Amino acid sequence: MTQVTDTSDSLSALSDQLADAVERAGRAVVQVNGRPRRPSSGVVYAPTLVLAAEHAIEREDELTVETASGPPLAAQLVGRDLTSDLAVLRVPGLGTEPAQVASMPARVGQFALAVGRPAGRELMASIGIVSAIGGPVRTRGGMLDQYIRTDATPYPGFSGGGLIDARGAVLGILTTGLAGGAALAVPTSLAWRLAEPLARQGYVPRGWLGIGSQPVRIPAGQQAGRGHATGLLIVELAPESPALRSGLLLGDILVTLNGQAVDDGEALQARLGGEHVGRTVVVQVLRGGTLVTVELTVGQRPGRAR
Amino acid sequence: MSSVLEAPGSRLGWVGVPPEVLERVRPGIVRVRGRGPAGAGGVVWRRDAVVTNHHVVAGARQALRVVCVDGRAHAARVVETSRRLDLALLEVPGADLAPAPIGRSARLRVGELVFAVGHPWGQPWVVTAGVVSGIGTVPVPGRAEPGSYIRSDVHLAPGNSGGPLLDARGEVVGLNAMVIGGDLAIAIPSDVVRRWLGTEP
Repeated sequence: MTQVTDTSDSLSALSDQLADAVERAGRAVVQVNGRPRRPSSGVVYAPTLVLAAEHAIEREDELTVETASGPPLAAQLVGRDLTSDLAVLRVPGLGTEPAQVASMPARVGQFALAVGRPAGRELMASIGIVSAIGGPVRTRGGMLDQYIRTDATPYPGFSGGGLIDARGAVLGILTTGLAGGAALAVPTSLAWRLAEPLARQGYVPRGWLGIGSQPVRIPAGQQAGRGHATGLLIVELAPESPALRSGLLLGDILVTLNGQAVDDGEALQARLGGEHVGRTVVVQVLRGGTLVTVELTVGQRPGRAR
Repeated sequence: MSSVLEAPGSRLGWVGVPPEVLERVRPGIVRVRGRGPAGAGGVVWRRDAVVTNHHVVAGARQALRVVCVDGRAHAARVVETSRRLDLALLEVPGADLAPAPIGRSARLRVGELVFAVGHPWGQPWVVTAGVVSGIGTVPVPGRAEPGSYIRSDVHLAPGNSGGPLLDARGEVVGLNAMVIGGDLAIAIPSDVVRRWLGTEP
């Protein structure tokens, strides 16, 4: 066999593999009818449970899901999370096998296919690569730990569909609803983890201290001997908040959380995941040039859902 | 002018289209030039006939030329068109063109690799790559069976019309015809061309 044949055969083999991947993953991709005339997509992640795009669910009644064949199935919205733009739907009678999850996290540069079932139940796909992996990032509802960016085309109705690898395993849940229409995906490990509280209690618990802050540089003489020049100046204390109850004051400069330096508000939020709700954390603040240690009980961030 | 054909020009460029895949089909792809500056694409169906889109030859019936990848130009005339299918058959009298390998579009699968060759914005012989995004159907007046079209995510621009959509084997599976919503490429399936002409190439 000549080398010439080798390379053209390998292109055909790659092409077949990509089509196989779309077919395999596509079995777990459903059409979600949650707004007028503009269906979106969803991924079956557990028996009778579908992950969908929160922004594409505009109604709770007459919510239906359609697979490649069979009648539309009534779906029930069991949870939604603005931060990740994810919603969980329960679809009794949905006989679809859950999607296969990629065993490795997405890597920048790897092949990625966007797969959706946007209209007429028809499976559609586009190809690109994993362009970037980023986060934490501020979204509509709060801080999202991680996201995948892709250059695969997100056709209208692809939100809630899958970003898959070349073997048909799901790398993430697609959405254009997180950042100005850009094609992003919530990584599978994060999406599946968020889906669990969504299915159980309807929302994702997130920790809350109740402070508003801005980063400041601390002059050398006012660092209380710590030798660390940055912190978070507390400029707002929410009523009834854990911070207010603990005795923190406006003008305190937050410098550590559980012993770790705190330099910006986004990192602080990222470290207050739902698992911290109800637990005690120790913070240190600079107050009048003196280091003060305060214990407080992390609250549940209010306004968790619409 | 022909050397550009070896340089894939889109986000899948880094995959690389093996040169021999393009080499096989390359003599069967032509540029159709009328009065307009950009020109369009065409696929050699027989030694003296080229298929392209209806919309690229409408209104330019007198002064058509087809230009091969080696630069040879031939006078051509429209012998048959279908506005409904957006297809036109050009006769190239006395030419001895190399027919392109024509594949079976019915075999296409969503997700398989496809390549477009054309002249976007007048840039000659540009190759772009993507996958089959879907197979769409449209109702055809007077026929029970709906018409079909290929959707793909290859990058197309004016000048790609009438040019081929190729599969990974380098066979023509469609004729690129238009773009919807800026990023969804529409091609007329090779099987539709076959049925329209009533002949094998």
